[in-house]
Amino acid sequence: MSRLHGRRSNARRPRPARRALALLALLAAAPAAAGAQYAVAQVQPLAFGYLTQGVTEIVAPTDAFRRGVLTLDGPGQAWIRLVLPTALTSALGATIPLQFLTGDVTAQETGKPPAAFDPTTSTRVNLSKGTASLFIGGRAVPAADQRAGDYTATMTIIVSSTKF
Amino acid sequence: MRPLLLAALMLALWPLEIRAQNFSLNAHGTVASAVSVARLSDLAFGATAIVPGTATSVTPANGARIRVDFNEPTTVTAPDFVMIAGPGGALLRVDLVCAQDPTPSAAAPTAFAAPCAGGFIPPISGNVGGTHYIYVGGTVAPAASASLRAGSYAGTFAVTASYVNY
Repeated sequence: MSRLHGRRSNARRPRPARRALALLALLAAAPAAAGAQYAVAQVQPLAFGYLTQGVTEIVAPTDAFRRGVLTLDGPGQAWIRLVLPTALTSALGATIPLQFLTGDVTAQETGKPPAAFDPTTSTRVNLSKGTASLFIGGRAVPAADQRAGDYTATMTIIVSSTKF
Repeated sequence: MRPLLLAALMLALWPLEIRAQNFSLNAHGTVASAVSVARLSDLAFGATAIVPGTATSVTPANGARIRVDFNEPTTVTAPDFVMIAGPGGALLRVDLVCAQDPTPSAAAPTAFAAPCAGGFIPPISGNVGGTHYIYVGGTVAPAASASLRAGSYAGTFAVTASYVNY
């Protein structure tokens, strides 16, 4: 009876060889994850400048001085998506609605012209030939009696090595 | 599920999560200050003669009216008194009394909490600016007119809006 119990107990333990194999597999997978690191740098913010009350201010992604510019570096290809703000906000809590329409955001891979993409869905960018750039335009819509002040907003770019 | 298998599965999924990275970009804009002060009517004692040695006054509701348009907090001030000039360079002191109201023809505008020079900040909240009205009355004290020459007196005073310039 006691011998039978002993055999069952041994059967549940993983064999040393199997454990070593699993460990090797995990160690092999870890460097792949660490390699998929991306570097994003803000070259310049999206600058609407002085806004006139009641007048929609449009910054085109081709406006070299006022568009937002990001560079993206990394291995192989990346999938990117932008989380765009809905408003600029002042320190006192006043807001100015923002709009981003089709064509307001473009991506440029090395050696290619900028191409518009839908920033709200995951889009692939090829980084194998070098740094890619993102150009971000947009529209600010101040009210006719918009409160004076400085307004800011933050947008987020999500980068992944897989589609998401 | 065996513990080792579970651990292997978790570690296999883990790299997918850390591959997504977030970065930030800024956007900014500035709305310029837009504040204006416009005179709607003057402070006038009218045809009523000022009798030397007696007090004469015009209430703010019947005095000067000023419209202030603003898109940021603005302090509106006027002097506490003004010296108006008459015949031969004679000067008459008029003490000013200030009041305010959001409407342009208030029968009983609210007096400033402080004297005119202390100012008033029209209320502003939320996204937008607005319009407010300042009413300025005047009083001639008995002593000020006691030995004054007869004639017509006139002068000017400024109503000033102070604000941060964006």
